This record gives sequence, structure tokens and C-alpha cells, in this order.
Amino acid sequence: MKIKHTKKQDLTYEIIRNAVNGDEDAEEIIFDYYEPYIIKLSKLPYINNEGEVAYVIDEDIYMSLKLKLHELIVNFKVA
Amino acid sequence: MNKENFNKNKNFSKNLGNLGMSHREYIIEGQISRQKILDEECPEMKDKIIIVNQFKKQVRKSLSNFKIDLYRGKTKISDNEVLSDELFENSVEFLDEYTFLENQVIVMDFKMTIKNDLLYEVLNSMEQQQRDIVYLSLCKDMSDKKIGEKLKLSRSSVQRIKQAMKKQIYDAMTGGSKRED
Repeated sequence: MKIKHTKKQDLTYEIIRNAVNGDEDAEEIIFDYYEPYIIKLSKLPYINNEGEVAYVIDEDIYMSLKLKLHELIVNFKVA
Repeated sequence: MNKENFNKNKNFSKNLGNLGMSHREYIIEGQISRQKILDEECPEMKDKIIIVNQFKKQVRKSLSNFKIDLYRGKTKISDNEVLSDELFENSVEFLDEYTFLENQVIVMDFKMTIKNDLLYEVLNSMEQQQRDIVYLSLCKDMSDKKIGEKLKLSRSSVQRIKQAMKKQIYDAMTGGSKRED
């Protein structure tokens, strides 16, 4: 099976400005852009039944990171 | 790698060699020339790129720091966590011992039940104001200045009463032996 590598939309000045001013679509683009990074941060290691190290996504951390991202967007100062 | 791509790369590095340039130098030169174009032709664009980079840097840094804080907080809570089953086993003894309702002392506006008999005797022998100061300083961790504002006393008198009461409690609880520290 082939994995499709779709290219994400890069962040531009206009998107950031609109998101800071309260545009939901622009904020959604920023959320999509940081989704993989947030998932990476919210993974926690644990040892499974076979004695191997595996990773599980902690939903508490995931949601609080998203809230933090929203807070950062709102408080960002666009010159 | 495909054969075609390999040949292309080989030709490219050959051409660079003819120009007297390494691959790294070529890349750096490309960056500098791009920077020059930005500086000269569209300074507005440069400002926008700076803002976008600032945003990306700030978000990455604060998200990773925030995650570390969260993780530390979580591990701290899980270290002090007790299962409800374990709690129930220990709390049976507590439930039987609930016969201290008589040892009540008035602090501030409410009544406080005190489990230790010795401590109850000491607190009961104190005046109301002294008891308030002991409660506010030792249980609520308030500073002398704040206690003084609340009870309308000066800071120095609060400190004096507090030290005297601490000594009184210590002497009563330990039987008057000297402090080791």
C-alpha cells in the first residue's frame, strides 16, 4: 500500500493575521498545520504485554495543548 | 535512487567543480542572493516573513515547554495518588475514632475540632486573638503584615505574639525540652 504525502498549506502572514483577528477558517488552517506536532508531543511511552516500548496518545495532554495553541494565537501580536 | 537521478546529481556536481565551488558553497550563495533580492525589491515581504517565522518559533517553543510542565504535574499527582480501595481499608479506623466533637475551639468565626488532647488544652488556654494569629499564620500561611491588616494590629506585635505562642505550643507538646536546632 502506498502512503500519500499530501503537501500541507504553509502558514502565511495573511493567515496568521486573520486568525489573530478571529477568523475561524484561518485558525483551522493553523490547527491543521500543528496537528502532527501536537500528536507527537502528546505521545507517552509505556511497556506493553510483550515487554516492548509502545506509545499511546494521552488525550488530556492533546486537548490542553490545543487549548494552549488557541491561547497563543489569540495573544500573538501582529505588527 | 534511480539511475537518471544519480546521473543528474553527478553532472551537477561536475559542473560545480568546473565553477570552482563546492555544493555547500553553492547553497549558501543561493541563500544570500535570495536575501539580497528580498532586501532590495520588496521590504514589506521581508517583514511578513519575519513575523511568520517569529510565530512559528514562539508556538513551537511554548508548546514544548507547556507539555513538559503538564507531564511534570501529572507525575507529581500520580506519585501522591491513592486507590479508593486502599483508602477505604485505612479509613475504617478513622470512622471509629470520631468522638472528638467535644474538643472544639473557636477560631475566627467558626468552631474547630482538635483531635490532639494536648494541643486542645494549649489552644483553649489562649486568648481569642492569640488563637486567631496562630491559625492564620500556621494554617493559612499568611504573612505578618497581612494578619496585622486583618486583625488591626501592627506587624511587630503580630510577630511577637506569634513567636510567644509557638514557644508555648512547643513547650506543651514536648514537655519543655530544649530545641535541638
